[in-house]
Amino acid sequence: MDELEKYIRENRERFDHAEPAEGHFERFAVKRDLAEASDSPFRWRYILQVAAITLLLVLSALWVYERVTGPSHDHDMITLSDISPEYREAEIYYTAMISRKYEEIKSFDFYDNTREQEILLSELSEMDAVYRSLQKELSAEKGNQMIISAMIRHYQLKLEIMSRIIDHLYEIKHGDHPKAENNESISI
Amino acid sequence: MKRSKSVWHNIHHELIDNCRKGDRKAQFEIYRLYYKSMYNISLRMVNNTQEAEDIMQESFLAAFKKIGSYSGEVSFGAWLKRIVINRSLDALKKKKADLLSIDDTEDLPDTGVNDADAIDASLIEVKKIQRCIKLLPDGYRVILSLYLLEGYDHEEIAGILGISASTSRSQYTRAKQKLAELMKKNHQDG
Repeated sequence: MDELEKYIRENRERFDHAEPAEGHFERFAVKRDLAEASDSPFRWRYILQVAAITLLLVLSALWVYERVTGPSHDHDMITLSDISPEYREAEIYYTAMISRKYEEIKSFDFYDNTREQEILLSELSEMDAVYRSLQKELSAEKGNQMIISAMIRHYQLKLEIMSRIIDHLYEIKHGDHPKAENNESISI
Repeated sequence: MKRSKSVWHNIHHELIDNCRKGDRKAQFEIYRLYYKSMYNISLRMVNNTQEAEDIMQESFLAAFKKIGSYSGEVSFGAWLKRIVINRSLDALKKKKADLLSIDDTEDLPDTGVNDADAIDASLIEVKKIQRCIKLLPDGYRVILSLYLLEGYDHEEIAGILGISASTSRSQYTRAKQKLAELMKKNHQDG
């Protein structure tokens, strides 16, 4: 064995000093989670289906809206999807999740109190008015980071509210409805 | 790399078992334990930091995906290492790197250093060696890394690269010669 070989073998561990660029762990975490998501085709197919249906509904609603209100200045309204592919992914994700929760709420048994359900659902739809006004602002100021954040926040909030409603509905279903307890204490 | 036992006893036995179950935390833990050595292996082979990171990370993902086929005949690190090496080789082949016809016909320029033994021990240092290894043609760099740094013997390298062991031996000798020459030139240049 010559000097060079000997030296390298003796100092072997010193040859492994290179570090990948900063942030490599975060990049790996993203890759790992994306890989897992694409490995479960069922869930993705489901999300895509929901997204497709949502898109179809939104498009047909827009079409009807246009018909009813006539051509409007909203014609060039842009969405998050127009900003960048990342925002498109986020938008698809949120709309899919929201429509899923919406269906969940709709399918709940409201003890014949369908009026309450109607009010709830219409209030949720009213939240969309906020989103539409944000959308209008974004169309005027394309790429304004504050408006974009507000739109994302809106999605997150809506999702959060819906999750809470669903949790609450489950609570009621399982009998620990505060109203029921009150009634009981009064009757005693 | 001794293979005396039929089933390797891994230090991170529990972590590996959790990885088999797809445990996210265990996978990150394994990544933290091995990323550096795997990154260095890939970097030596492909000679590009961005590419080496991608290959290293994708090797982990591939390993987690096919962890069911890890039988424990070798250490987990050795198994992972083979994945990194194979993927690095694939990347080199994709770039049409000249891996096999490693200058069989090329004569080394006569710089007066025809023998690696002739190099002065005092001229050797890690950083300098690494700098010179980077300057080697792909084929030389790969064989030299596999033999000297990754610790494979010529029989194993023959298997990895799909060449004969004697080709591996002769290419290694040439690679080492070229390295010694570069070291000397590098030294003269300051």
